[in-house]
Amino acid sequence: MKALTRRLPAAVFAMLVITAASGLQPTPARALSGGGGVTIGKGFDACTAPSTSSMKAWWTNTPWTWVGVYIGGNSRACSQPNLTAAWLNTQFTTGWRFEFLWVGPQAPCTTFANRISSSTSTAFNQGVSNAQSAFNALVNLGVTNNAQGTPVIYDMEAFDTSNSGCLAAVKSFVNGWVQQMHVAPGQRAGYYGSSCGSAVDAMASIGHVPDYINGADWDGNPSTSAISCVASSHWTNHQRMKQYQGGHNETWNGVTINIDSNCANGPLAPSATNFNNTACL
Amino acid sequence: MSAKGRRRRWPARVLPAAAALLGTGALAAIVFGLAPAAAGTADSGPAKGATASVAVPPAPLAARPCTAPDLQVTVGPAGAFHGSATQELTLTNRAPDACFFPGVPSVGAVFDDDSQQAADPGQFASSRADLQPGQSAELLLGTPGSCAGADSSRRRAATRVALGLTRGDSVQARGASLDVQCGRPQVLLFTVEDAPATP
Repeated sequence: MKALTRRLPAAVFAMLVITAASGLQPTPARALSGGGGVTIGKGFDACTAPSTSSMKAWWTNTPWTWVGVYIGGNSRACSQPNLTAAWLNTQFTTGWRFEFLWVGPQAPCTTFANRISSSTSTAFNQGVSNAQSAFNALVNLGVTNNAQGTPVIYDMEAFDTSNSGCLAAVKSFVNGWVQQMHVAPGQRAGYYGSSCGSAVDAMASIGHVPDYINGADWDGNPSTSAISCVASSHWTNHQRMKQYQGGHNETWNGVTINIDSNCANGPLAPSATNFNNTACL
Repeated sequence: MSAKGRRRRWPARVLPAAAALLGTGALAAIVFGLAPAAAGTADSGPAKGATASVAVPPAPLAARPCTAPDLQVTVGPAGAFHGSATQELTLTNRAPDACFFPGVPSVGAVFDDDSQQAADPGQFASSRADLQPGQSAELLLGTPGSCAGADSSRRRAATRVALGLTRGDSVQARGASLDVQCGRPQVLLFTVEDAPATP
């Protein structure tokens, strides 16, 4: 940028400024890159990916640097009219990074419409199948390089963790999810859920341990070091996120969105940001 | 790299010309990060002032409440969100003029025996929503997804949803799936989608 500005005559440079001011951003010339990078900072997730105008309003002078996006799965709750490859590129160009969430079948001991099998072998295969579907979704969203290294996190809502059969099925499912996500070209496999109610810590002892976690623990404390029911010795190497506040409205620059508040000290797509927020450590 | 780092690189002699073309207010917002103050409740965090951002003007308010003939109700997929088994509804204003909901409509889960269970409006009881022609609101209903002894054999699912509107009329939509064995339904979200682009 520095070299560029030296070469441009003032009038041309002014035109560039006008373009930026009027929101006439050029159409992205490439798709979102595969990969991930460790970000230490605050992000929000909304059931529906917000419009580009809302995302732009929420960028400037706000604490948010990344956004959770529900890319698919048969239990995804909200429609996604905005979520396209172009949307991802536009937000990335602004500076946003992404937590990609996959919401497939839920624990067998729940009332969700789509559930994991109580059979651990079938549950494992369902985990594999969901990982394959998540990979396909990334490719269909234009993520390049076969989405290699792209982090995707599985959304497992709370279940009766005292039900041993139910817990075994969920662990087997997650084992299949992680194993398949690691098959070349390979993505990073995360596990999101209620930090206590989704047995997040129990996933540290399965054969294929999730690469990172996001524990929903709505205590208002953004520190990813303090996640209820998750041992401090687990997922210690920039492998943690925390959803520290549940659904609520926030208004920034005139735009109100119902969000969950999150902190990351872990991988986001497609790369790290430079807006570190130490409150998230 | 911080936004402040980038700001220092703008050549000073270029700024006056650009300012004349843009208007000083807009240029200042871009170059010096003087975007409108945020109204959020969270802490401000690291400075991110490099991108042009303009406050979105509010849409004009509708003059009348939405009525049953105004609305097309679409039943979306069942899902999982915030620990709840969810059912998405889309309410689209098909009238030629704008209408509004003074709060989320009263919602009843209707079972096959025609009995109903009212949904808790949650935080959206007074959330006004204005719909321009063609614009939609998303209503996400949920029931607790987990409880001790939850079992598919105990399933008690509503297959219809009844919406009560302000003038006493109502709309019913079929094809819903809300299992209430773990608790009563609640409105989890009530939000307005962006207005469709005008030709």
